[in-house]
Amino acid sequence: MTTGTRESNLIQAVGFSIGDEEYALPIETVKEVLVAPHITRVPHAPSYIMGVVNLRGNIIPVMDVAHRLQIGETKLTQDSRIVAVEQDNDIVAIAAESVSKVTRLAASEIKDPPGQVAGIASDFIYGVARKDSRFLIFLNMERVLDGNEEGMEHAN
Amino acid sequence: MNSLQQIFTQEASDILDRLDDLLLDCENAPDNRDLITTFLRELHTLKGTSATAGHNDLSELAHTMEDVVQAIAKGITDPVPALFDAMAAGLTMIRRMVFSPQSVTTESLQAVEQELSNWTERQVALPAPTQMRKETDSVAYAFGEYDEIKMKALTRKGNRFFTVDFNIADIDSPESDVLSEIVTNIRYAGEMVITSPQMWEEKELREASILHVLVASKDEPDTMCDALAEHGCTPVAVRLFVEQAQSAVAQESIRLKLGAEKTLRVNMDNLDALLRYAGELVSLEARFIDISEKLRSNLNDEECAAGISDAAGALGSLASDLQRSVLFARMIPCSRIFRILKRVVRNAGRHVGCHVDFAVAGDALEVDKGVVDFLVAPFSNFMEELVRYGENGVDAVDTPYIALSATSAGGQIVFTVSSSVEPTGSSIETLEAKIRSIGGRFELTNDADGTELHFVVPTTLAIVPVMLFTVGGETYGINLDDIMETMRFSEMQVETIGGAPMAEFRGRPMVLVDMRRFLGAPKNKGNDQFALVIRGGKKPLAILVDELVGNRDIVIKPLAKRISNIHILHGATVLGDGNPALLLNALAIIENVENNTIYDFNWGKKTEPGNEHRGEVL
Repeated sequence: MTTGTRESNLIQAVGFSIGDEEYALPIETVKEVLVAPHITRVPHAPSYIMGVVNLRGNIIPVMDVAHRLQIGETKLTQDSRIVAVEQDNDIVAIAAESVSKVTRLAASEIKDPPGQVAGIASDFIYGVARKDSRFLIFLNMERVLDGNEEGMEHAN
Repeated sequence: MNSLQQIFTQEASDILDRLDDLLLDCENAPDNRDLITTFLRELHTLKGTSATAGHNDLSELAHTMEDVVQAIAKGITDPVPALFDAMAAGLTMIRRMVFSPQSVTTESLQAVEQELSNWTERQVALPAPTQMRKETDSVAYAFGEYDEIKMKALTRKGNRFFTVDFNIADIDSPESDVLSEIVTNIRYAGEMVITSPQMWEEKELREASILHVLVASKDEPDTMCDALAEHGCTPVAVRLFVEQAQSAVAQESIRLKLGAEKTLRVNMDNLDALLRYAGELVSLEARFIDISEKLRSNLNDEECAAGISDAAGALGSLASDLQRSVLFARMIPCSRIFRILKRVVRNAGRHVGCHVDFAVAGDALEVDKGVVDFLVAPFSNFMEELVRYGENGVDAVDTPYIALSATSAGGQIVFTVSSSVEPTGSSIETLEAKIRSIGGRFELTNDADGTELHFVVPTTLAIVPVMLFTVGGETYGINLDDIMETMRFSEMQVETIGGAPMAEFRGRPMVLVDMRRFLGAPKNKGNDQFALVIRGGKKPLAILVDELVGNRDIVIKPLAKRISNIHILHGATVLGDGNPALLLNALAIIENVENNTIYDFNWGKKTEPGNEHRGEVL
């Protein structure tokens, strides 16, 4: 998530759920949301890479964010969606169990994470916002997609 | 980058390529006036273009280089290797100024300028005007399109061209009587084509001591001289304008003009995108055929199904044409890679204090830009090592030579390197591995006469023939060139040696690798499996797969950054159903197995050596 977003007054965020938690990403980082296509498994890939999909001719890796955050595994169902995210001129897809509508909220509503949230290490979280009776967890995508540690040893 | 800068970068890139070639050629033939003339003209153009684009530092550096070349042309400076080193450093600096200006520091620029200036300063000490005048055939006239046409017409009328030099050291303005007298009276010698400096170049005229006038005439120089003297306009020299230079100028101009009409600069990213879309269209064809089959079987709508099927066929055919056209657009001549290699060989030769004869052939042959980009680094390292550290190094050979040729054969390019020096070191292994990784072949032979290296690479990396197969329900591909043969597992004789299953192929035992295990794929439901003998390294290897899908020409798609470091994967492709399939790298699989990094040999039930299994899945 870009730091510039918090400064602007109004934020539009795409919400998605994995497990019991609801996450959000600023709309400008989301390139596309699509019905989960066939995911081709990638041998020897880090364990949080579910595989690759064909996104209009580009082969894009799909990440299991739950696995990456070490809070379980994303379960793919009929409601599942693939959220294509652009980060550092690279496109990565996130598997989401479901995707909700775009939420508008004031930048001031996003608060710094109070340490660990829902078992997720705080450095993976950009901020937390309250929406109705639930919490929206804004992910720090730069950190989430930075695959320099866990799982990479599987890639020879 | 604004459009002016973009145009400048493109133009500068072209000029620098030509200057690189010319510099090497000039070093090999410093007496060739045509080369020097062309070199000066290119530098002059670069100087002008860069000044127009606001790159004054660059323009000044080009100007200094021009002075050095002038010094060579006038015989003031000897064309020694160190001078060419300085010139090469100048060209490298200009490249950096154009493509990575942030890497240029004032100090580094000044150092290069200073080194170059050292070669021009000698000009002050040595020249005598009479000596300089002898070399008028090296004058760099700024020919325009009109001049070219006029020269052609005059040539057809039987004229020859002469440079007539007049002393204009004393003139103080372009309106000087001396100049008007020259212009008026030159007709007694012949027809004036162009002057240098040109008549509107006030500053240059004021600074110049000699006015060069290019004249077309059917007379001999002496007659021309006399005719001019008779009219009170005595030249200081009349010299035949070298015909070769003249024709080189004309040919180059024609080439450039033709080029301007027939070519267009295109960003590679746009071409890549086009190729991707063309590949998508091919996939769409397969999906339409699939739909038509469903219509036929589910709805019994034969007419509709046939219509869709026909349309799909037409779509596929168009897509293939489009794909081919885009592939052609990505082709660039081998000269791009040869130019770099020439420089590498020259510099490496300088390093060991030896001149290496380097001949190239087939540099006009075209190859996909991706192949060139892929080969340039390992090929350069190989050449450098060959010259610098070759067995019986270049200094041990009387006349060290390297001959490099490119020829086309069956959609592939064959590179042949013949050399009096025998290669040694690791660069040859790296080159071999790189070539094999793109499905190329590699052969090295050494004998008393020297070394000959052949390697074959595909003309394009974008479309390759692969064999598709399934492992645990997943589809994979391997470059067809890497597959030596296929065999049913049930027909094979397998034994386990030290826990490693070995199979016999044509009397040769080789390690058998179960790909389900290697790739971590789900278990197969049974059925007969197939073994593919793959190569890539020195030892072939047999891999066990489930089903053979068949051979296909596929469009290779690169893997995303986050999974591109998985060595056993070569890329991906999109299958007819729109799903991705991964392409395996045969060499990396073999290396993995040899190093035992991924694959555990102790798979399946352990069998005592000598125990044999026939068609049994271990």
